[in-house]
Amino acid sequence: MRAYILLLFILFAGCDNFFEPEPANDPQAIFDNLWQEFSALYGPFEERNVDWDALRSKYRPMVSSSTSEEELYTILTSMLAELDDGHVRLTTPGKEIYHSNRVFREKTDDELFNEALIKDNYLDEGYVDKSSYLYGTIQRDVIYLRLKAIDDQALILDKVLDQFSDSKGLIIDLRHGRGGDFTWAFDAFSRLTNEKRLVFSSKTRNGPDRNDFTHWYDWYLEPEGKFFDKPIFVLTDRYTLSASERAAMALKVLPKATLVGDTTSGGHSTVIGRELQNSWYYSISTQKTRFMDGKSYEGIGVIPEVPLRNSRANMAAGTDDVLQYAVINITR
Amino acid sequence: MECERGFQLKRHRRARCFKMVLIAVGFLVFTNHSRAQSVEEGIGLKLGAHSVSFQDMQLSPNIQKDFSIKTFAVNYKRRKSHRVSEVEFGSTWYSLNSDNSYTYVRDGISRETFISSSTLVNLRYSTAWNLRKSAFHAGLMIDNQIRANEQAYGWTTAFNYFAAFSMGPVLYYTKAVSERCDLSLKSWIPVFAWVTRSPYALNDDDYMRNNMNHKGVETFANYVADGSLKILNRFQKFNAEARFDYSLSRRFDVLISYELEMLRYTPGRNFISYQNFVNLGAEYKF
Repeated sequence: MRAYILLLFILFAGCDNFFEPEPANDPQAIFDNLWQEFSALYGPFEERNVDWDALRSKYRPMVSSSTSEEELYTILTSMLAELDDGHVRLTTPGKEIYHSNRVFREKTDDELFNEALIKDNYLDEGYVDKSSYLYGTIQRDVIYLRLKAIDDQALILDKVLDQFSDSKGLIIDLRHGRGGDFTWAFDAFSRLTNEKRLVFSSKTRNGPDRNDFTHWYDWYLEPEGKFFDKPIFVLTDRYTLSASERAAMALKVLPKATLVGDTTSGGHSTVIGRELQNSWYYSISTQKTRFMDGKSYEGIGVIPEVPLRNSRANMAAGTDDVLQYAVINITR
Repeated sequence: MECERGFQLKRHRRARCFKMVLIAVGFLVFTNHSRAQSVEEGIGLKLGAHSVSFQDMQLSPNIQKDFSIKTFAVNYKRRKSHRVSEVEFGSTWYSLNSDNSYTYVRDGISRETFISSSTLVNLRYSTAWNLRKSAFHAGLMIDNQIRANEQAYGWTTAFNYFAAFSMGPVLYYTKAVSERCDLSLKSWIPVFAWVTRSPYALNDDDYMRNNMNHKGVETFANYVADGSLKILNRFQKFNAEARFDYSLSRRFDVLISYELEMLRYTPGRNFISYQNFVNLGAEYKF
C-alpha cells in the first residue's frame, strides 16, 4: 500500500520531465523552428524552384538574440514570400494575415471579380445565395452556380440540375473560390461525367527527409446519377485556390467543359497549420500534385482553354466579360 | 492503380483483424455475464473535473494544457465471490486554454484566433480474480481510448485523432477502511495496443479517402483499419485510480475517485499526454 502511494507520488512529481522540452521563445529558435518545420513538411519545393537550404543561408544570419519582434516578422515573411505559395500564410497579433503569394498579398486585380455585379446584372429573379454557393438562371436558359467554397453545400448541384432540367447549359463559377474539401466537389460533379476519369494524382510528406513522401494516389471523377449532357463553362481567376483548383481540374477533364478566365493560383496541395513558440501561426503545403496529363501545375495554376480577363471599364459599365463569354457561347 | 489495390487489400485485412478483436471482447463480456450465481451488481455515475497536459509533435512543439469540469463516466460492476468485472464508459470535453488567443486582421476585419478543443472517450472492460483470499485482485483490462481534437492555428483549425485499443494486466487492491467506507486502488498497464493516429501531415490522401464517404461511423472504421499493432517499446500507458466508497444504505454508495493517466507514443513524431481526473459519484447496487 505504501509502495503504491510512493509510486503515484513519484509519477506525479516527475510529470514535468515526461515531455520533450519546448523550443526556446527567442528569435533564433523561432526562426529555426519555422525553417525546420518547412523542411520536414513542405511538399512542392522542386515544383516551385525553391532551394530551402539556400534560403536558410540567406536569412538565418539576419537573426540574432537581439532581433526585435518586428524585425523577425520582416525576416520570416521575406523568406516565406520566396515560396509565393497561396497556401502559405503567417498569422500574428494585430496584423493582417501575411500571404506568401504575391497576388493575394497585394490583392492584384482583386476587383476584377464582383459578385454583386452578377446578382444585379445577370441573374434572373429568384436566385439563391448561401454561404458557400450562389445559384440561379441567366436569361432563363443558362444555369449559373458559383461555388464560393468547396464543402457539403456543393452537393446542391444535383438539385440545381433537376430544378433547371430544360436549361441549355451550365456555368460553374470558381472565381475567388477559397478552397475547402475537394472530395465534396468530386461527389457533386458525378452527374457531369459519363465515365470514370482520372483527374490528378498526389503524394504527401510522411517524414522529415525532403524525399519522404507517400506513394502517388490517383483521384478519379466517377459517374453517378442522371448524366448532364450539355455544355459546361467553368470560370476561374488568380484567386481560385486549393480545393477550388482541384474542382477546376475535375471539370477540365470533361469533354463538354470549357474553362474560361484567368489561370488559377497554382496552390494545388492540401495545407496544414503549425504554431510557433511565440503563438504565431503559419500554414504549409504538404503535397506534390500532377494533373492527369502527368505534369505538375503547382506554382503555375490550372490554365483555361479561353484566357480572358475582365476589364475595369466594362465592369464599371456593368459587364462581366468572362461570364458574358460563357453565356453567349451557351445561348447562341 | 496496383499500389492502390494493394493498399485496399491491406486495409480490408486490418478491418477484419479489428472485427475479430471486437468479437473476442464481446465473447469475453458475454461469458462473464451469462453464468449468474450469487452476485453483487451495481451501476454507477461519476461526474467531475479533468486536467490534461499533452504534447503532440504532429500538431505543435508546445505543451498544451487544459482544466475542464465537463467529464463523466458510467459504469457497471459485478462482483461474484472471487471475481470482479467492470465496464466503464466515460467522456470529457475540453478546450485548450493554454492557446494564446489574440486579435489578428483578415481582409481588413479584426478577428479572434480560434481555440483548440478536444473530446476524449474511454470505454474499458476489466475482469480480475482474487489472489489467494488477499485484498488483491489481478486480471485483464481492455482499455479503449479515442481522442478527437480540433487543433486551432489562428484563423483555421485542423481535425486530428488518436485512438488506442489496448490490453494488459490490471491489479486491484480493496480494503475496508471502516464499516461504511471502502478504499480501492486500481492500476493497469497495457502490453499491446492497436493504435491509429492522424497521418504525419494530418490530411494526406489516405486521410481524405477515409473521409470521402462523409459518414461518421464509416470514417472512424476507416481510421481504425489504418492503425497498427504496437507493443510496450512504442506505446506506453499507465493508469492508476484511487476510490473511496461510502455506503449510505445497503443499495446506495457515494464515492470520490482520483485517476491519473500517462501515455507516451513514439512512432513518428511523439505523442505524450498526462491526465488527471477527480470525480464525485454514486453507485446503485442490485
